[in-house]
Amino acid sequence: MAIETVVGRRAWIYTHNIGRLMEAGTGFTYPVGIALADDGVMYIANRGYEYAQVQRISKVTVDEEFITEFGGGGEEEGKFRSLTDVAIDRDENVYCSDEWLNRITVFDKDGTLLGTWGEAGEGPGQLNGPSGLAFDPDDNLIVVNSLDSRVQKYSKDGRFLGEFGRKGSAEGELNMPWGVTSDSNGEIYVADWNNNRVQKFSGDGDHLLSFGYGGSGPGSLRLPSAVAVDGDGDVYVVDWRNERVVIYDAEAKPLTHLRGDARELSKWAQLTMDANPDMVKRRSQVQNLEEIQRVFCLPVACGFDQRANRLIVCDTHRGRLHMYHKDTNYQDPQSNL
Amino acid sequence: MANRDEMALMAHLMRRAGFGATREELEQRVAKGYEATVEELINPPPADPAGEADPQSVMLRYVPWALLPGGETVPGQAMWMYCMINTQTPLVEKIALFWHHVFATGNAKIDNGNLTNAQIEMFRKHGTGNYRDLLVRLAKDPAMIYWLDNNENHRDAVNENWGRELLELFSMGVGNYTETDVREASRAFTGWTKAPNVPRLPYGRFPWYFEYREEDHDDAEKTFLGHTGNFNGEDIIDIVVKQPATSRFICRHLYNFFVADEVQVPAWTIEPARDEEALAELVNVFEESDYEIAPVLRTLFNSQFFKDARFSKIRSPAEVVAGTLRLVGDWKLPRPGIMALGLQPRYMGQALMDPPSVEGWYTGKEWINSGSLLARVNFIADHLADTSLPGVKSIIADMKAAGVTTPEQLMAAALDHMGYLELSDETSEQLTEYAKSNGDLDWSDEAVAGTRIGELLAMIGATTEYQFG
Repeated sequence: MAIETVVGRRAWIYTHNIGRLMEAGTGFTYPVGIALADDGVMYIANRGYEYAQVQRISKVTVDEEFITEFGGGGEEEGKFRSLTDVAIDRDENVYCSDEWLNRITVFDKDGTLLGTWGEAGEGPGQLNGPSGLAFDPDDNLIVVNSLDSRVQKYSKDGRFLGEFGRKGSAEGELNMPWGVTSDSNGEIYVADWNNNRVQKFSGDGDHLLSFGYGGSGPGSLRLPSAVAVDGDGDVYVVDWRNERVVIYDAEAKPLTHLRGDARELSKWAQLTMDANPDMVKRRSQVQNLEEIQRVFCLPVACGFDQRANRLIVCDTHRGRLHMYHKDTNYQDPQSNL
Repeated sequence: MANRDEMALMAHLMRRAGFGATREELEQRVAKGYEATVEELINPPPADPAGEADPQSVMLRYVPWALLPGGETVPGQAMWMYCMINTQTPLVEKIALFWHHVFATGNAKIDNGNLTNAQIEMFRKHGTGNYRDLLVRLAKDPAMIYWLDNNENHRDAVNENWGRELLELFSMGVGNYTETDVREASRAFTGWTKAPNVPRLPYGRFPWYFEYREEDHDDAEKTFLGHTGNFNGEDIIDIVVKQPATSRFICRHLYNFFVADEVQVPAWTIEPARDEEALAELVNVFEESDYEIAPVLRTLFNSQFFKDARFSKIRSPAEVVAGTLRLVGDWKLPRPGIMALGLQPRYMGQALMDPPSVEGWYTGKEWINSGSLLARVNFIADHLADTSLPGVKSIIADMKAAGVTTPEQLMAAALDHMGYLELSDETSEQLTEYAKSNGDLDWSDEAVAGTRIGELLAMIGATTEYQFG
């Protein structure tokens, strides 16, 4: 039976999960960023471990097909020390942020290195802990500078176009921001991590709206890490420390939240089980296994695929992605139960 | 402006109840008052849900694998060290370290860093609370259950490991119970085990949980320390807590950790306490408060015997590392290389979360040998001489603003910044001679002046006296 989270005519219907905790190939290692391409193709940024080769971009499909992976640990071009996020442009070139090397690395869709850019510093155009990445409707790259609380915009070749934000807690100010997204109007949403909120800005950086406040109640946020927007304007915020995704309407009214619904094993996870009967035996002894297993564990990222009306949540510490289909015309078939 | 005696006393309190403090923090705390600071340390304000990220959250943002490190100990060590350096509630971390010394649990056997991390978190949350409740939590702690084999303690096959250590190391101390008491206590804890856990594949580690299995519990009559009944584990803890030997044992641990070095724990049955009068005062408060830890700490920190005990303890490796890094202002944010941070105390003889045995570490002068001393001195000197570090920069700026020029002024200012350190006459003379060898500080070249200050700080850090806290 499908698991549904219903608010009025909206419903988020859990469909399946993909992935497993794996250091290469058919699995993920602390997925912290996601970029969505056509036909269900996804690029996943794997934070991996310090110094490890497992820092990589995985290219997979929503149907759990592994396509390729690229990157790896290191400081030379094409490698990562602290891989933080991923975004794709209209040509499906892949942009990756590294918050330690203060560098943007660009690959083509097959993983061939196209180049790197970025200069460390706190001046206009300089990078200081680049974290969240997103492309706006004009195909310009938005980069969140987490350590000096600025949001900067660049052309695809790294030419500085503009910036907004400064450190603080007042409206329009930021404190160690993390994730970012842009909607179809070019408006920018920033996960204002250390201020426990998401802020919405115009494309020029004018403050428009704030979502959430500190806490764990309905609609509140504790150190949000990422944000996504769907075609209806509903906003999805990864409420990192509360381990949930809070959903708001376009006016910042909280609608509901998701805590994870992956009761079943993914296809790749089932492969692990097939090869490890000792794990199968142990799992069979666990009471409430499905309930323990289903929830998010410090999720970091999410994305919304408007072509498929699909929400995807990176369940970071479990190495998997939860998939939800959004139904905007939901009708309860058995409302008289 | 606070006077020097007040600052020196506050520096002493912050070394013992925390991991040291910068001069700026000391001035703020002196302005608040000594007793008010003790109170704030014991009862810190609750975390603000709308406030900025706590050190654990900052660590997990940059080092996500520190949360569920699996069989690895190092990420947990790095996480704890980062918390010690950056905590705003230093006694919370310090009391966790205290209980880790007493209830020593090692990942070498458990092979599950998540469990040892969770145990430390339990000490943070409940370490200043009621001792009886803490023992119950400890008995139900999955790390402890696995460490001392209580998951192998069955009604028809008793395992005495937990029952024995509960009495010998966690409450009364040797000589205060019989082998029969060990057996009976162990019987009472049959059925106290861990629930089958979700295995590590395919989604990584999941928490372990306590489980009570009634069918595996020996519910028959037992006689323990002169009491007879169908005792379960909590009944045993209730009896243990009320033993005078327990009050003395726990309060002696508190004195040894927070006030002054005692002889090693195995000698406590034959050696009197370093200060019997002080110990009696702590024991009285412990028993009068129905075994609460916070009132004992309040009495301890406000006592004259505590205030008179400056530099009478050799600092543990964890204190050396955290104290030095707080002083120099390093590791405000995690960065690549942070795993090595967690290893620093190990190089000095204290692998956090991995004590050599359930007895924990031998402390005091046992911390010092030729290898560990070299590791301590190198670590301290490397950091204090690094004039690029913000804390060292701040010390240099403060000396410049204060008009420090002569070698005597330089020595006095350096000692003040290093916690109002007191040197022996011989050490003081040697270091003053060193300071004099280059004449007065010349602030016209700040880099040179800063280097001289850093070198002197490093030399002071290398003294015998600096090893005492």
